[in-house]
Amino acid sequence: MGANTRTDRMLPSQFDDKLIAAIGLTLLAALIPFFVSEYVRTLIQRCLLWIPPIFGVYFIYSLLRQVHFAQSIFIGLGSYIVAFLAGKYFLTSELLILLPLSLLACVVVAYVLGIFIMRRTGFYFAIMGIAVTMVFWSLVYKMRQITGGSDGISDIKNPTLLGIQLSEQGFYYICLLISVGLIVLMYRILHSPFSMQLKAIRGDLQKAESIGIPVHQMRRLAFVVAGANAGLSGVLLAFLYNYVGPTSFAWEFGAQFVQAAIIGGVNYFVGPIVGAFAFVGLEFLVSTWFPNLWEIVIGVTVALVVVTVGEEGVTGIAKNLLGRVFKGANLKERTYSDGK
Amino acid sequence: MLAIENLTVSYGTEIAVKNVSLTVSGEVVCLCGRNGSGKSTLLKAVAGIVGIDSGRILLDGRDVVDLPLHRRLEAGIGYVPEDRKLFSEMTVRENVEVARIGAKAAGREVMDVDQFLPELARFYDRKSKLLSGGQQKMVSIARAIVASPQVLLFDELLEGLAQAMCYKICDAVKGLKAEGKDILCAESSLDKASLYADRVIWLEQGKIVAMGTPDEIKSQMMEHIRKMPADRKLPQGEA
Amino acid sequence: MLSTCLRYVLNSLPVVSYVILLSFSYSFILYICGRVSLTFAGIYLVGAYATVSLGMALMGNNMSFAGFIGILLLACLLGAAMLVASYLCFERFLKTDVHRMVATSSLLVASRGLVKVIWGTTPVTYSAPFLSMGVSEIAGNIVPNYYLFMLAVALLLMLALSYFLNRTCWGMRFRASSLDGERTMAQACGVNQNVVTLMTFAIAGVLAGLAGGLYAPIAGAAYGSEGNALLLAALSVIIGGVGSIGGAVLAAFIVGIARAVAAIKMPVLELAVPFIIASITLMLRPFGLWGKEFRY
Repeated sequence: MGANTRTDRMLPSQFDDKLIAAIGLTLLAALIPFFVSEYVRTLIQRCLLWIPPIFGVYFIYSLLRQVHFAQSIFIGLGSYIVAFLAGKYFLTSELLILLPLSLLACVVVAYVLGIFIMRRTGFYFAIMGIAVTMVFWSLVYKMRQITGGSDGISDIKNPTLLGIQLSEQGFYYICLLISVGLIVLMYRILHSPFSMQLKAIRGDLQKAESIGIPVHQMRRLAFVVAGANAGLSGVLLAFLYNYVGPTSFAWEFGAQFVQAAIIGGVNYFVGPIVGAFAFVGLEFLVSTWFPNLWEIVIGVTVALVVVTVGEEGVTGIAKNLLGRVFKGANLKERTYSDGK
Repeated sequence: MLAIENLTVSYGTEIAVKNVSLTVSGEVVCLCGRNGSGKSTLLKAVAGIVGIDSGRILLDGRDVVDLPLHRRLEAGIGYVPEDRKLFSEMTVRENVEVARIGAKAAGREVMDVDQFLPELARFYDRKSKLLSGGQQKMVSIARAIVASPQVLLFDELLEGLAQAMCYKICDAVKGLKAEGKDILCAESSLDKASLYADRVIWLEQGKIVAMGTPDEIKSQMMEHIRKMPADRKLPQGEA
Repeated sequence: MLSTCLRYVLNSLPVVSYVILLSFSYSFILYICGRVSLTFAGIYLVGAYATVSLGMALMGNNMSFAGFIGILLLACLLGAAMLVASYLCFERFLKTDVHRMVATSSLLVASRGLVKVIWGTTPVTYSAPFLSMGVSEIAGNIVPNYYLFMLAVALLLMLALSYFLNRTCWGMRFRASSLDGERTMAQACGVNQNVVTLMTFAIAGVLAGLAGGLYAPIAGAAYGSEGNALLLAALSVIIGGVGSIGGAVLAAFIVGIARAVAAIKMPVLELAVPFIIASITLMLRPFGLWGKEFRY
């Protein structure tokens, strides 16, 4: 769970430390439902489901240095698949059908969209990302007969797994499983040759293309990986809220994942996880006491984070502080001497 | 007169120019040395593009260190960068015009460029990105001299130019010298420096190691130059 | 047939005019300072709300043309002040394009929040200027005079800016600093970069505020409409090319008319059409129809 992407090869002891921490955190997340109210559990569930789309943003950001505002498309896609199949035109609420189906849909859509919006870098990509979310939003908003327009679709049936109705607790564990599974998968992908190659070509597309690397193909695949993460989350988010509306396509919803990723810190593998909890936590606090100020608070916070620490985010700040408290040199010495 | 006193410039921990002092008055002084010996950095420091750590840069007795980049023109410093850096979408006339506007705003006398670069008149209305390398260099020089600066800084003036163009540009430099300008250049090749320089200063690792006419430096340094590695070795420590 | 076409064109004029102003506000900063800034859409929203509420408060339904111009000027000033403030407080510290995109999109969200706090989320309308100007007839089509007024304001401003950039000393300085990748040579020629940047942000703020103010009497001010504005303006920049006034006008006409046609023929695709046009443009002419090669 907690490894720094910049470390190419894990030293055994370092890996063990982090593995233990990861397993510990997962166990904690698994035990939490027994101790907290239903409201808090839903909140944690939302954090868990936010992690995969944020990982998508993180993936694109850390490897390609691009800002991926279009995650909401895939959340929306997954959610509307659930809304149609398990709600409006009830066919099935079987997770084992809905999850792969949404995955497939997201992969196809991401690949096709990638052809258009992954061609260019920089602000072209970001703007096309925002634009495409707006296009989807307006489509859903205007096809009132099918999608319910701004009212959205509610009354989604409870999810089933192998035909068995899932209890709310059971659904929590499914969310945890998917989320942790995707984190592990992202860890593998980020340490694969594919990611290394992507990182290598991010500087100069034309140069990489001229030495025969299929740049556009690879960038499109990266986009697909990010989208697939979000699509799976979308399915579970629809079940969690029993409601799907066009806002899940809105550009500001897609921007929230970018904001969460930045708050968490894009230089660290744990950044998206920290970011999800920090973002949802902040939103919870602000909307409890000053519901009107939420947008100002998050907007200014993110701008301040970028201005002051750039890509380090909360994780970087925490690491810096911890390093100071525990005397960073000491920690470093221990890990490296153990590794030898 | 340009006087540089104890100038030190560094990029982070890397010291590029160490405690250099030199004066230029009414002559053409050329800085030579290996790649990375601090020639360009020294020029950029005088031009105001890189900040300095310590030292003074005096122009006719006035310290210009604290002047920001856009006010160095007003103080009388003209700079021709290594890779020309023209305003590529603008015509040659407009390129020169930008500097002329700056000169007028700064209250400086505007110089007649054609006097030194008669060639320029041929392509005044062409877009500068369409010009050849030598022509671009000319425009770059024109842009630097239009505000009639006392000090001219030329970075790699003759690099990559054909012989004919070299002579033309050398003529321009000699004409400027005749006007009494202080000219400080950086040139990586001694042979090219000997085409126009009165005095050559040899830099090693940001320090002055030899000074003299081009021929003196050539005879003095040739042995040393042949033996030494082509690039500066990285961690410092070697003097 | 011709008359139908003309009707589409005339109906699209308000959108065309505000997209001209907004897209140039965005591409002006991008071109002169090399900075991506999405805050302009927030300024648009604030400009619209400010115009509506000032108009209602100061004049109500007794419309006076001079008064309306005064209110528009206030909206422009407000826009310029906000954008300059956002530059001074945040944007000048941002070093890379990625940072700029993340931070300015957050500032856009923050300015939405500001609108929410001050005016709430219910759309407000103020159509007195629009109604009081009456209509005229062009080749059998009834067209509100306000549409023509909007277009005239937008085009005149573009002409003025074009004159400023190409014919004046300061315009020369702006162009020099825009064409200089590292922005050192322009400064070596005596251009004060800070002044140019601040003026650029102020001009962009004026354009964005004015776009909101001019469009408000027709469409009202609605929390959430900044998304539409951002989309149309940014896509127009992609279509027209960065930093080109001709491109901004051309692209605004293309986007505006295509959108107007789509809105009547296939309302579902209203926003998809500009996106498709932009995608095709990116494939055929990566730097836009009128654009020069840009360093992205």
